[in-house]
Amino acid sequence: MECRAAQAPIVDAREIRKVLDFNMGMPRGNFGVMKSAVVALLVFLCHMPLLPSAHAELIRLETNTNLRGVYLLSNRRQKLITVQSIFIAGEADADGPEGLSHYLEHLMYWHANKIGNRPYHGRTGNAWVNGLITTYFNRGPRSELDDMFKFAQRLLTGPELDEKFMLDERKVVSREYDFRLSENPHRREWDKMWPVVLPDNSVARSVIGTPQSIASLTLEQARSFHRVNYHPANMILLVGGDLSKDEVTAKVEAFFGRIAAGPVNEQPWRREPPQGRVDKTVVVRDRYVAHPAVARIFVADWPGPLTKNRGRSSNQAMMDVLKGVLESALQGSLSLPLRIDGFVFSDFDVGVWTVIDERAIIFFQGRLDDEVTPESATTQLDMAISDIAREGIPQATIDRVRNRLIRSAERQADSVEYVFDEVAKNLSYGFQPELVNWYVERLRSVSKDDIDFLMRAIDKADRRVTTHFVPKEG
Amino acid sequence: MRFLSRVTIFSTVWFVTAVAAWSAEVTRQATPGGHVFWHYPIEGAKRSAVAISWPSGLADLPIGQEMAARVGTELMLNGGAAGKTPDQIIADFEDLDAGARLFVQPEEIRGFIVTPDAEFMKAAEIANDVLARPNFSKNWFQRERAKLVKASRGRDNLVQGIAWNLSREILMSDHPYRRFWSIRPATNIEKIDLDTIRAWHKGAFATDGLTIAAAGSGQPETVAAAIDRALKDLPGGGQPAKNPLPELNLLNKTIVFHAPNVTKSAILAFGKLPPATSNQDLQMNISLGVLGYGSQSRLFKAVRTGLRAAYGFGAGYFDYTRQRRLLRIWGEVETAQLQGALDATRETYETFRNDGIGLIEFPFARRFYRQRIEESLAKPTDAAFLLLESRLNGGPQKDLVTLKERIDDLERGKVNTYIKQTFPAFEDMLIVVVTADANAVKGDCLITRLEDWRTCE
Repeated sequence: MECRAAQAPIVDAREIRKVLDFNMGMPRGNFGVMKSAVVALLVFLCHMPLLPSAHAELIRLETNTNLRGVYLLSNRRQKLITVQSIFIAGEADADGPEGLSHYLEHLMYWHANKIGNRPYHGRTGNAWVNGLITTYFNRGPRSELDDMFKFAQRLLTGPELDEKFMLDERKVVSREYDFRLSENPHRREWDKMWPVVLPDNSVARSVIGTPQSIASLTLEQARSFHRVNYHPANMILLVGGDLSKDEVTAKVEAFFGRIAAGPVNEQPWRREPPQGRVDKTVVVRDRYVAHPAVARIFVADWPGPLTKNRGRSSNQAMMDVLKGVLESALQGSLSLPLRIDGFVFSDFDVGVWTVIDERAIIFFQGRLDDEVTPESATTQLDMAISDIAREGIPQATIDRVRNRLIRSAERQADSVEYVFDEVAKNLSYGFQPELVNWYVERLRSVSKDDIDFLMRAIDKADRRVTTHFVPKEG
Repeated sequence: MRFLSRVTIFSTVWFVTAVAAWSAEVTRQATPGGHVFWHYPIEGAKRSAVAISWPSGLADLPIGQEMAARVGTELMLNGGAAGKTPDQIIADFEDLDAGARLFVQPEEIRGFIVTPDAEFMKAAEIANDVLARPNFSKNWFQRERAKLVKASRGRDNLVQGIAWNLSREILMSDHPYRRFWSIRPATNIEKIDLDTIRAWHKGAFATDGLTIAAAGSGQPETVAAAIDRALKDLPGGGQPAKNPLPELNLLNKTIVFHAPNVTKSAILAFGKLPPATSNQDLQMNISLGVLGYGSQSRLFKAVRTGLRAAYGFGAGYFDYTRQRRLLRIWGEVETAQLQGALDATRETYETFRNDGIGLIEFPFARRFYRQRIEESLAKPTDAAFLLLESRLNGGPQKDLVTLKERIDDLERGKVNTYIKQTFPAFEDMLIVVVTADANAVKGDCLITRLEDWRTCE
């Protein structure tokens, strides 16, 4: 079980992903006579039941349940079945001590996993929360299907485990805090930057919390968060693998058919954009800072795509393209002025999101080259952003980045792992899951004007928070 | 009628050819340029991967300059090549929907490319630029060296860094491989110059003695042409003299490293396992899976789910070289529960070593292992890696093809005998504990500096 950083990008398009490669691998042969080849191909296609389907796609199932959504990625080559439950509930929906949604995620995993006192399960699983949604998943062979559905069903009942075990789980969460944050000042400061740049918005809450907040969490708080949020109306069920639509529909209805919908989480914080200006810089001197670094968050007024009615899913495509551009080694990127031509940052990461209506958020974190001060690097970063905003991003750059994203998405379109990650991303951004080919269409519709408009908004961002990381001896 | 019979014959031929084309056989192939490679076709894959191992690693680097190989590979990957700027190289490669890695170990360098078949030749051309003609410019060299210096110093502060560095001080003493693995001392890295890296490059990237494995959708001819292109005009080199790692010193003791400033505590244990070349990976992997992989493993259940003392706690193996394989147990532990966690680890491990895998446990473990292998064999990069490892370890040609069946054939009794015969006793292991509380755990020796381990002998 793990927590992911709030607002952290769920999919990094540049990452060399370990994906499941599936498609119809047609053998290549030179048969010479076209007519015969065509005829043979037709006959060969008659043998298709002997070989798996060439293509799989995410489909929404209409079920007689109150679940917010049920989706199937039917892939006959994927012999292991994945059952993933996503709740539209995360730390942004919590109050009380920070880390509550994550603590509950831990408890719920063990609670849901406790099926019939079986000593072993023939499946593997995990869970994570990113502040916006909470996800549980299991993978296993078809023989474990009922066990996996039972796990998903049990998520809708409150945590019932030995009380000491549940209270002691806070110690485990504290060890997770140690594992992820105690020697990582960059990650700790990240949690402190959000409340500055997004005050009064619960999306700024720390997902993992602090050692103090974790220790103060109570079972009643966890149960209360569960009662309010873990309902079919907030639950999306994703099933992937070698299963038919009818089979999954029947299972879903058998396990979830009689459960009341419960209240919908409207995520009001999405409609509460921050107002006014903020520009704050914090200097952190820490013995765990090995490389001097700069982290920066910009929150910009951004009404969305230039052409109205394109919706939030178009936002996601724009954000992905802009991130790809800024991180690329192409004209219009941040890499060229700051890392390749200029030696300011030896490496950096960029995140671009829109989780609050009419606001674009860009996060930048980079390690400094020798002889560069954090102050100078911050100034050069701002100058680079202004230059890109003023000059615009070349059409050729946008085309190349878009093509990379499209190629990658199309290749992975029937990969359960990839598609379910994309769905988690969709839901984090605040819209319904969509097909990979819809996403590809959105990518195609992203224009240079869209990207330049977004970049200008970021350049004009009136909310900025910066952290300078400096090594501390001793 | 004649037409129909032609159709039938033709379709049968096509079908048989189709099935034959994808029957998963490892074949020995040779490129027109004379490079031998092993090829594993994967039905339905969309890309192909090629993995290459050079038998060089540190090549002939002078004593104390071992980390030049690390700086060198990073410089090759990031600093541009063939007169092209880094941005050209990176941008051209990113357009291909391809991936690549290049990393160095003391006795070998490994590179791999994964790419759509249609882009194989372009990816190979870029790879060749990087391998044969890196720019080695001064400013990029200084950057990469500075990054490694900072990484080295940074690790000295981390609990994990301290534990691993201390264990290597004990295991390898002054052997050059210790400096390579520990990336220290940083002062040695600061002394590396560009000429050393150029010399290492010339000696390291030979054109003979390579082991090459390919897997995926590509036909052998396509792969062969790409391999030749990627390896064209490499600097040459030879077969550098190896500096074999002597038997590792396990010390058979528990060393407590007292670091007053650390924020957490950790346990790291090492024990000897048969070398990678013993070709007993199936027995080893299923055993380690039960002992320490995942939330149903023995160690996880003992230390996390039972004691509630850790977030993650498990076991695996680590090859310092193919001849020096170690069992590794690792986890960060609540300081107040260190002694309890260490005791639970010992008890759990010894029970496992003596009693082996349980009757109910075994079929689950076998199934999980089979699933992991099945998934890996469907992915070009993973399959190419498995094939490369098999060839380097001297496994039979059919190793990969029969893997799933051989896992199915594993018998509990034989695996448990293997565990009993090969897994070391806990008392024969090296145990390192790093903690801010000197009294948190009882050890054979308490030290505060890495070099003080000798006082524990």
